[in-house]
Amino acid sequence: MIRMTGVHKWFGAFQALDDINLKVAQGEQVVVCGPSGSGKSTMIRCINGLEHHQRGTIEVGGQSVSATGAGIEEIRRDIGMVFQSFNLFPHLTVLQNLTLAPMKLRRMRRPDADELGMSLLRRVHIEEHASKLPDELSGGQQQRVAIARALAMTPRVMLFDEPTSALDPEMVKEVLDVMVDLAETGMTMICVTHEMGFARAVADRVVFMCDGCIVEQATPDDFFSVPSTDRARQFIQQVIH
Amino acid sequence: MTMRAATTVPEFQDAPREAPLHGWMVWARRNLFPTPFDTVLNLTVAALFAWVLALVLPWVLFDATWSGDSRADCDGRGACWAFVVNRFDQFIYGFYPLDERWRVNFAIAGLALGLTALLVRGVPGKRVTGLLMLLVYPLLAFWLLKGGFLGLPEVATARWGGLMLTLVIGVSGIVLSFPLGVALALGRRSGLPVIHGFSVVFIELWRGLPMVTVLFMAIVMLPYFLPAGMKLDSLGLAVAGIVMFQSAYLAEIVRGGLQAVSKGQYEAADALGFGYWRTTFYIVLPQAIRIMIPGLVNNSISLLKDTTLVMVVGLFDLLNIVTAGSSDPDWLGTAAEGQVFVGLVFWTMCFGMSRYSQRLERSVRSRRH
Ligand SMILES: Nc1ncnc2c1ncn2[C@@H]1O[C@H](COP(=O)(O)OP(=O)(O)OP(=O)(O)O)[C@@H](O)[C@H]1O
Ligand SMILES: [Mg+2]
Repeated sequence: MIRMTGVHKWFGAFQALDDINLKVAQGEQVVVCGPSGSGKSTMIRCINGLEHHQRGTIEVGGQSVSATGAGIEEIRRDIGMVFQSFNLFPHLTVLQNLTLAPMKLRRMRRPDADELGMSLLRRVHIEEHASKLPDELSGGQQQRVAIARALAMTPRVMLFDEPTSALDPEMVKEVLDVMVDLAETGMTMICVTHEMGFARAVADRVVFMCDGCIVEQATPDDFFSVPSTDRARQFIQQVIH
Repeated sequence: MTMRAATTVPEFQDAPREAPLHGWMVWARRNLFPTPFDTVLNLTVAALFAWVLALVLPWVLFDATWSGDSRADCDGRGACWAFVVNRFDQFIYGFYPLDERWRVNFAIAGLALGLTALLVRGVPGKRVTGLLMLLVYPLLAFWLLKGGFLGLPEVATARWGGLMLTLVIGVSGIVLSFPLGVALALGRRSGLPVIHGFSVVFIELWRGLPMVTVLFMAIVMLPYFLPAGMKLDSLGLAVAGIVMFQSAYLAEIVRGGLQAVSKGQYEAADALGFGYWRTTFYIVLPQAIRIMIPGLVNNSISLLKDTTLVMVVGLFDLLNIVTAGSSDPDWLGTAAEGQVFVGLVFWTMCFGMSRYSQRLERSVRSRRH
């Protein structure tokens, strides 16, 4: 489904990604973790072309994500993305946040889009807030709306960039629950997160990054109990306390 | 919300211990005379106000003359409103032929009707009305006012004048400079060097010129560069000059609004697969416009007042026609009345815009919190 081969990325003289090779199969759930500044965000943002890589190839569903960004819009419509800071559209209601993209980009008619939107809101348990503005919701509710908004384009892959890091602790669970539900439907997912419970519960694989490289890839059980590198061992110590 | 909470707090402070007071007395004591200093201040202001009224009211109302055929009919103690009353039609229609003035009435009524339908909340069909006003109304108004086809005799723009001309210039200026201003603002933020460069040069050029210079150049200098015998319409040139000038200002207001839209909004739009134009129209501009409302209205107000500068190119807008009227031998010495009248008309229009923008801001804010 996703294939990254020899991907390099520089910000000016600073190398953010160094020879990234990653394959994610259809229906697989991958958790990406690593210390701050290790290039996790940069890597998943390269997958939908929010950042342009300078060397190597990235393919999503057989289509090449080109470094110059040609044809990128069509590819992005098949890739959902959820951000740390939600980034809901503040001038639209919750339901309109969900229906805008299907109506404008897939030419869906309003009644159909509304129906799709409401069914997604039900799926993230937030249908009673459909006509509110995003500002009127709590952080956890906003992030669930953001997930539903990404799902409204019926993506084949979902990317999550630290979806729970900006949330108060008591709201983390409601968002993770939605993500677990999503994983159970067989959605292909790449999640940057430090929620180790989530990783253990749903991930097929944990990818550990450090200094722009993928240092280690293993099943969650192996990764947490017998990490093969010192960096990973240190990191696990830190997140588990 | 917070405001309401704050005003209800001090309620218990002054439970009436002395003689019970009536509602307005309680209000007055609490708001006008809470401390000796406030009392002195408020009484001073009230006295000043009364003094000004005592000076002005006799001239404006009590001693004024309301009808007459020339300045001689006014006794000179108070204002000579007879001048304004006598010339009222000319102040509204300029030199528009008497028999055709119904066309101006229809055009103005159409504008008023359209604006009411657009601005008053609760009137349905805003989208259709908006499209009609933007696409159909200008053609209709042009046909009504200018004519010369479809059965209406032509009325040359040289005969237009007064409030009607002020409205024509003001409304077309506001409506035409908006899209141009938005385009320039987007151009200035564009990554394409040619478009970016053009926008910057255009904006900086027009912003740096005095409006009078722009109008003067449009009317006086442009004809030198045109083929002999080709004559441009003064009104068209004046509107074009105002649009260029105002769109440069507007572009900077729009740019400010665009900058206030966060990077995350662009990323969310990109990630969903919106392209540049759809991101701009569905996500960025609607947010930016909310931020821009005060600036937009401010710009419109200054544009409306700037229309009075068209007198340098020989057009008789409201101000110019009133000024010309009070130099008529019959009405010499009525300049003050004329200026007060013009001031009142402009103030009413500008104040209306300002109030509307405040209401708009409030409703946007209350929807957001
Ligand atoms: N736009 C940019 N310009 C320059 N440097 C950047 C830019 N974006 C990221 N970087 C740098 O690239 C490196 C990797 O950043 P990235 O955001 O991918 O890290 P991360 O693993 O997601 O970290 P975090 O856990 O803090 O989110 C960092 O050192 C960062 O400073
Ligand atoms: Mg990050």
